Amino acid sequence: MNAALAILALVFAVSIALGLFARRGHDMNLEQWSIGGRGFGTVFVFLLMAGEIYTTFTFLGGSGWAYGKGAPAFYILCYGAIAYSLSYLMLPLIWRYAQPRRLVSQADFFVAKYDSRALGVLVSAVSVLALVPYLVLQLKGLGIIVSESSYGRISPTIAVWTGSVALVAYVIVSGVRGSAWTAALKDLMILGVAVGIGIYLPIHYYGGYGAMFKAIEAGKPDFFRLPPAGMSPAWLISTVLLSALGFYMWPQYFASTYTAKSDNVFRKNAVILPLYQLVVLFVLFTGFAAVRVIPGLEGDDADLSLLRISRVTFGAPMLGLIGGAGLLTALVPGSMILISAATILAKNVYRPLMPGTTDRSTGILARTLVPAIALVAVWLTLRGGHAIVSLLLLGYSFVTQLFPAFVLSLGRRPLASAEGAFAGILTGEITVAYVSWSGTSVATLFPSAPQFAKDLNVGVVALVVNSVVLLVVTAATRPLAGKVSSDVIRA
Amino acid sequence: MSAFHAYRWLDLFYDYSPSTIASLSSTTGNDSRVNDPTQPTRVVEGIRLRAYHLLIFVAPIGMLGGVPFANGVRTLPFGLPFLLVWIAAWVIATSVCMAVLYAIDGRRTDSAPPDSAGSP
Repeated sequence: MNAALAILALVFAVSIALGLFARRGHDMNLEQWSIGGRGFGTVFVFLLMAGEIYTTFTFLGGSGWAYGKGAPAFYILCYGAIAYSLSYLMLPLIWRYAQPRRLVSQADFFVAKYDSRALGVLVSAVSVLALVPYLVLQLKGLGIIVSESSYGRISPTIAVWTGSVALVAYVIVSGVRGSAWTAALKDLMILGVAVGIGIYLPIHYYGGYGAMFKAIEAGKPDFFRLPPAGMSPAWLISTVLLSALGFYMWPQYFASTYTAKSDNVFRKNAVILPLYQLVVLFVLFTGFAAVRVIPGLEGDDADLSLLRISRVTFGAPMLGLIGGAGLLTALVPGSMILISAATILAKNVYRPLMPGTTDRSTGILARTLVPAIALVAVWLTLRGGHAIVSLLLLGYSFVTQLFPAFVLSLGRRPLASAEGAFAGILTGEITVAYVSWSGTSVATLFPSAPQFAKDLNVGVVALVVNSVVLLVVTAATRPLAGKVSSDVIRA
Repeated sequence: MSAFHAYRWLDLFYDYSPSTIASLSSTTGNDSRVNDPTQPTRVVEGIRLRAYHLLIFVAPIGMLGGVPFANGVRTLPFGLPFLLVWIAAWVIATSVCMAVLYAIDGRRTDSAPPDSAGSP
């Protein structure tokens, strides 16, 4: 029991030390702090981007879905691979645009492309609305992981406070370099721990993978097939597409594009990351193994399946290692979220409102905001409540609404007008919020639609509304004929 | 959106020389560095789209397009659910497609500078 505590404490101490050490030899202006001075090579960009694969959501939620839902959990394997496919062209385009203009945040990209600070403020608001709940999710996961793997010795409240203090400390000191260095430790531990238990548990309890799937299917027929209605193939395809489009719209991953020192980094990573993502398979296997070993976890408790099966199977030292790996899955994304949110608030919200703010004071303000944002997140985490749960689910849908305006801006000149982009994003977000709080689904909107259409992820509706508004407002604000002729003259 | 306009948009992915970027900077605003002769930039904007770049869509279409079919198959290859094997195989195929693209791009463009693992 004490061994688990000791290992947890050790992992925690090493990650803080790494995070603080990362600063060595670097002056911390905003560009250094937020995006590592655009000096990262393939390895560190890989570590930052792989941060998305292994958040607490994948660690706890991935195994939880496998345990509680079966085949629908396979969607977690799909969307990353599709996002990486698109990234092969998308990320070099972002990088090549951002590099000479010295962009620092995702909102900067929209401001520069559409030449509109108002759009920047809107994108910033959307980002922060999505980022804070995402940080809350990481902190919640951190609390669960530490309390479970310390056999309840450390309460979730203490874990959340300690984790946040450490996070704030190394984020303020080292910025994104701290994230990159702790990510190195995280990925090493995850590879060892997740793959290790994913291989061991099915063999230990069932004698092999085939035997495991057979045993589970004997008790739950069709557990590994998508149902014909509800979480059907149409649901999976639409959900995967929405998640893949939203993937790089998360401000912290969008901005990690800027950390690269050349655009070739992204092409290499597009080759490696899909393979690396297969590690998620072993998290799913762990969730499946738990189905017959620790039955009876209902609803949200399914998220505990990985930690509970580890607790009944392994001794304290191994549980400490698993807990340590889990702890890092919260710290790394958490630090990237803090940096992004603080940068956006300082550079894209405060600065336009207070003309005359210098680069230096923007950088200082960003770092001052870090503890404030962390405090809000800790408060929301400990307060609990249902409003947060629905906000969490909204995060992905919120950032996905940025995609139409983003993709139409990739050319030399945006296809949409700034007004169109603004109106599209705004109506998209309002639709997402309305749909989610009223519990609307495609089935309630169109009761007579065929079954496959009813199963579509309701996020598709918001994206369609968004795109239509964007195109209509663009057409109204920018006469097409004038635009084309001016292009011809320019060419 | 006229076809002509859409064509113009695709054209925007083509490489631009630094001087073209400089001439464009008046339309894009906060762009001091491009015009600054003391800060030479070798970054070329845009990407020259070629037909083989369509490879990025092969794995997504294959993976998702086959889900309704794969979901109906009852065979268990290696004792694993067919749908899971289908998806995992396409994830590997994604990597292969990217590797092929990378190889072709590496031979065709000289704009990508050699890159090494940087230390943050």
